[in-house]
Amino acid sequence: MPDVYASVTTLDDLAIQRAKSGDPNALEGVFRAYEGTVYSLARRICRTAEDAEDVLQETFLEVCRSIGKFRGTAPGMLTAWIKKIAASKALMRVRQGKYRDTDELHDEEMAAGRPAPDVALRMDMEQAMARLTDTARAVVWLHDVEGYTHEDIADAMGKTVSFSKSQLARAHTRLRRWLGEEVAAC
Amino acid sequence: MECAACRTELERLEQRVARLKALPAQRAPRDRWPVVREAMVSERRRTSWLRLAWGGVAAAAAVVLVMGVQNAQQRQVLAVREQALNALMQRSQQLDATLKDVSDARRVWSGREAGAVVQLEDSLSVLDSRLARRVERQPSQDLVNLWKQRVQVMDALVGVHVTRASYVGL
Repeated sequence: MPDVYASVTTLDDLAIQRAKSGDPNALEGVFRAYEGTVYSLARRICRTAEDAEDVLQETFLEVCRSIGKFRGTAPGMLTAWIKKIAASKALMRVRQGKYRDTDELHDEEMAAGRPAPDVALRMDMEQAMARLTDTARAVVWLHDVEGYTHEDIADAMGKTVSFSKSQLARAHTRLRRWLGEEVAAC
Repeated sequence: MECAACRTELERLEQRVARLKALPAQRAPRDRWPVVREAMVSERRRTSWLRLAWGGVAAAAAVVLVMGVQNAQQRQVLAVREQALNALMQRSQQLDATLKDVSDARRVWSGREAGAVVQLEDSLSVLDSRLARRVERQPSQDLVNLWKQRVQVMDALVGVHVTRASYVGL
């Protein structure tokens, strides 16, 4: 199991039922059990820690508001439901397009004939992910880590399936380059 | 996979994904639960106030509706009553006119007929005096019943006069 899930502590059926009835202590239990998961997911998609914190807050407000309508008692189903809300809130931030993507600047430099300064630069995975555009980073994370299909991503982002596929392919090409991996010629 | 280069590429992709999944979990720098709890409490308070306000509005609307329906029903009853009263008064006037016509003729009454006529005329005068005392802004069912009785008595009185007139060949 990847580290991003390590913070999820188990909630029993009774705790979920109490949270569904609106018990504030049980709702805090849900928050404590899932805050790490939600924040990690938000932090991987959003560019700044502040945005990720806002996503965390908005996600749990939505959870408190809607948990009564949540159909299911198994913790696994609750995890999936909360992560879906978190991904949706994070993607909403990406769609707002608050920042100019660094990747776009990089593409502009390439188009202008200037050599990109990061060619053959070895970065660690965190740095490389941070360098991707918000959209590309979201697609990579949702597809490769969260296990979303391209259809799911297209649906969540309001884009086409081919958009999701091309974003993923381009992102992997860039990651490979930034991570200093050699390209195997076919 | 046949091609060695593609196999290598796939392995690298899988390694990259594994590295992504192995990225450490992150913790929010600040505890956000107090903010979430506060927002949730104020939202619930607002919702319950709204529910209360809407409940009040709905109750008031229901009262107005019930009163409106009752008023409409009452107006309908009054209209029907007024219509009936007008018809009875008109019929009463017609009978008055008929009685005047038939009672002008001179005739001889038997004792039994004279008794019946006196009894009917007494009833009529009692009814007329009761009707004269009634001053009503809206017609009551009681008033309608009085007029109905008057018409019945008048009918009977006219009946006695007409029967006698036919009998004597007038």
